[in-house]
Amino acid sequence: MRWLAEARERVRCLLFRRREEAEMAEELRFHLEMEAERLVREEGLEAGEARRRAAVSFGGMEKYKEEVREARGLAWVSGLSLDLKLALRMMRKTPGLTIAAGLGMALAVGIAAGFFIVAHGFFYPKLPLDEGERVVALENWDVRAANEWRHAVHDFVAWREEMRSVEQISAFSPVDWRMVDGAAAPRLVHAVRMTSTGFQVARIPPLLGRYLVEDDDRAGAPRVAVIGYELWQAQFHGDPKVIGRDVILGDSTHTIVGVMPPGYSFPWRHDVWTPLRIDPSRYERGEGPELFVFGRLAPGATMERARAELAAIGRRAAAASPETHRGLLPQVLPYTYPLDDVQDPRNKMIDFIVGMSFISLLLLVVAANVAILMFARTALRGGEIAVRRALGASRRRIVGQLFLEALVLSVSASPLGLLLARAVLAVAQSLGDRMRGLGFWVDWSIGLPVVLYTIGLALLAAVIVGVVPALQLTGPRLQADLRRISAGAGQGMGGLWTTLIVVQVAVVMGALPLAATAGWEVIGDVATRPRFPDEYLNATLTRVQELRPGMEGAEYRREQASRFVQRVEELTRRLEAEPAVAGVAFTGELPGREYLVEVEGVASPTWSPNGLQLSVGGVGRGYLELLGARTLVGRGFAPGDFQQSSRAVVVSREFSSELLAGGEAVGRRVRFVSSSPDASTGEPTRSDWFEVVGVIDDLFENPVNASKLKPWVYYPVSPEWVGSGSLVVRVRGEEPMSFAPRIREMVAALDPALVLFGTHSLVGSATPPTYLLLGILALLLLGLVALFSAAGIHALMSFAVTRRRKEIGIRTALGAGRRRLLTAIFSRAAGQVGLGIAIGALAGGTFLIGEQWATGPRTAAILAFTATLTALVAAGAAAGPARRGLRIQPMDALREE
Amino acid sequence: MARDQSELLQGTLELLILKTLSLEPLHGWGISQRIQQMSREVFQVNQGSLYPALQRMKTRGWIGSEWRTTENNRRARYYMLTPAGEAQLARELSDWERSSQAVNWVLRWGGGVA
Repeated sequence: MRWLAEARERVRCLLFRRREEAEMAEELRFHLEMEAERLVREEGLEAGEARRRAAVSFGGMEKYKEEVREARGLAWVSGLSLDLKLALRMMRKTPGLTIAAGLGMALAVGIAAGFFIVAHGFFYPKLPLDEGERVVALENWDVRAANEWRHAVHDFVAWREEMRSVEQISAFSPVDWRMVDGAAAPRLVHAVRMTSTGFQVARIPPLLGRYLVEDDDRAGAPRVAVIGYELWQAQFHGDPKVIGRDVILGDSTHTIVGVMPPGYSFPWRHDVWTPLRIDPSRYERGEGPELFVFGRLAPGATMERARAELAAIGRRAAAASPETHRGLLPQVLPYTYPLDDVQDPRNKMIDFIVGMSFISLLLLVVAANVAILMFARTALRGGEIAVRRALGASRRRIVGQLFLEALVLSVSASPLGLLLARAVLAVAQSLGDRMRGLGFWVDWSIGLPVVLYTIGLALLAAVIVGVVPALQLTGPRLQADLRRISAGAGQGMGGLWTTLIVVQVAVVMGALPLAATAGWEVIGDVATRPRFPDEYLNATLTRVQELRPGMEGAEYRREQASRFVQRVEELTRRLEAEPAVAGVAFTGELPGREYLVEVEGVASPTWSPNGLQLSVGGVGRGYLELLGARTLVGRGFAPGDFQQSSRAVVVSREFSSELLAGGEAVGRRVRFVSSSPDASTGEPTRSDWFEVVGVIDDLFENPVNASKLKPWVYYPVSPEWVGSGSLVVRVRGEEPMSFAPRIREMVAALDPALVLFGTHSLVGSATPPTYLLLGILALLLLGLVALFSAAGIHALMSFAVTRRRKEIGIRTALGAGRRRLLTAIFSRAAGQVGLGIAIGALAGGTFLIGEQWATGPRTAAILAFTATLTALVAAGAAAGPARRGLRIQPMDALREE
Repeated sequence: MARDQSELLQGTLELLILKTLSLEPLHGWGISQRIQQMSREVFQVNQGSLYPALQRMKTRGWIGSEWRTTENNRRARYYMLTPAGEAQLARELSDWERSSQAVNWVLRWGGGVA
């Protein structure tokens, strides 16, 4: 029961604080009077002397009062309002440091919280579904390729039949389709083919009609589709009679049978669902479409049990068909992991942090800056603290007060930081949503975890920037501090300030160039832009692949291919006849895909031993000419090259300058390497050798970072070799996309079996706006951090010099020359900054070159630039206080003593 | 170092206060006088350090306090032992005896070897 009595006593003291104080004063007064009376009585002293002696033998009155208050417990509460007042007063006293440190904290909290929100959503996603945590993904992991292997038609069937611990095993395969609804303009829809059980996994009932049922999955069942609420509103204006309506999706007619409620876009971010009909008899093992398999843990089943069960099934499959399943490990994962490419969370976490090196480095710079600024702010108050100590404030009390001050700052900065993070993430999320680059579960709003994290961060920050320097300042150097106050705070802290400045400059110097380089890389990656004008429209075409019984095999494929060639040629002729069209050319798969290419006489890098990663384009007759590519050396493609036996390629200027150092490209041989290994040898598949016949001028440029320009290899392609491709149309004198509806009409009129996949502007699609915007955001953030770092150096430097103002005044009074004084001030500043620059440059430079982020000369240039800026900021910061110091009247300086 | 010393002192001071109050309730100045007499002027501590110790003991529930009038008609805060304080005193006394016995024993034994 002791604790109860104790608590009661403490509460009483707290409640009657004022009375307690009065009573304590009265009690001590009584003591002194009694003692004085005793001294008069027993030792015959006169009254005044007796009072003096009584006070001496009592000891430090204030100190004991303070100790009594502390012993009452909850002393901190009584001190709290005082400390708060003190904290606010201190903030006003050094507004520059306060604002710099506060904004820095907001920035740091913002970056850290943003990072946390994204990482948390990534690694601890919360599916907004009923019992969402029990929805799992099933996936084959290819151990040798260290990648997922999703050609899982046979595995899907096996898993669905054998697994007991996972129910409603379903699969989906996304597809972008053109939807045609009567006379309305066709619309691109993000559809997904999904086995009907997928809807049961999601457990969300339809808004109208029905969702897919098992009957829909059967071969030969009527083609049906379920649409999302948003599409229903946009395309059908929320018409309830939409159920039963026929629309063309892709190449066939589907009947709409249901509408899902608002916001439903399971399994990724879709607005149309059609049945996925899986017929394993049509595919060999390990072949067929890529499927994403998922399901729900059976009631009572755990993740571990499901893993063990699937592993056992995997071992049986590997034993039964070693040629396809050796090295495949089927695994059960939280639903979002494979979709977010998080197959191995532990490694991914490291990847994530390293991949965000730009952010991590910025955070480091800001955090170090804030810590140093706050430390400087506390150090400035060494004198005040020493006086309070001498007057009897306990160490705990002072540390508590400085902690509270730091806490006030960090707590007021945190909401600002959270808002900053939220604003940036809101922009990123809306862009990601629009591009359907984020899963439906992604929610980057501010939730409880990030709030807790931020509170923890604020506390931690207050401990680091408040408690650590306070402990140091209240250490056993009290006497030295007192001496320093009487000496005018002149030299005592010189070592501390030097250390602060050196560390500050070194951190900025070391980390900022790294962050700038990392950001520069990102921006450089997306800054590549075409050199040809925005006059080209790309129309992607594909032939209908309607497999009917008896229509399979080589004969059918040949027939289909020749029909596709005829249609493309006819469309080209008709387009060329259009007055708005300046030219038309065919191209194979969208140029720009990166491929492994082996170049004769050029060694492959160690990290990609099978070949160089180059941009490769399969281009049709007249394509390069249509885009205005000039032939620099050798020749362009000739009609003879568009024969299947031809082995000619054309390369870009960047190819010859970057890979061959300007050496002779024509006549050199290259071959293409497929990354998937050959089934029999296990080796990567290599094509025949092709010969370079010409070098053309680059079609792209990168005004930001020329080294980011990719070397290109173009190979000839003809419509009859490929089942699909694009026609690039040069549109005369108008916005190219305005011609898109006309092409759509022409394609529809030509052959209903020819499908226009989509149209886009060649230039417009070259730089995705998201990346550009993120790049700009990154630059802004970098600028903000750089500015803040400059402010930090400025604040430190000017405080360091201001502290010597009195010394300067006295030295002037003693007859020191201005020039000599200035030299003394600046040489000291230069020494500090120079040392910091040297340490930072050494660390940063070693990393930049060691990690091959930049070449030697480039590193030197970056470091020289940062060093110059840092030195200028420091010099500017030192100049102001130095000038004021020189102007001070010697008499004033002495009077201040 | 300084801390150990003061803690030792503090513990002793509390023991002395408990002992003093076990005889009769007293005000702070009276306690200080009594301790000085009892310890035959050995303890040269500031009189003020008594008050934080009194407050600590009060918070722990070992002593209580009330305002009374002294013989010469002045208001003073008197401290008295609570039952918990009596138990504490008994505990501390036996601790003290045990440890001083131990110290004596160690000293004798050490002397024998030397």
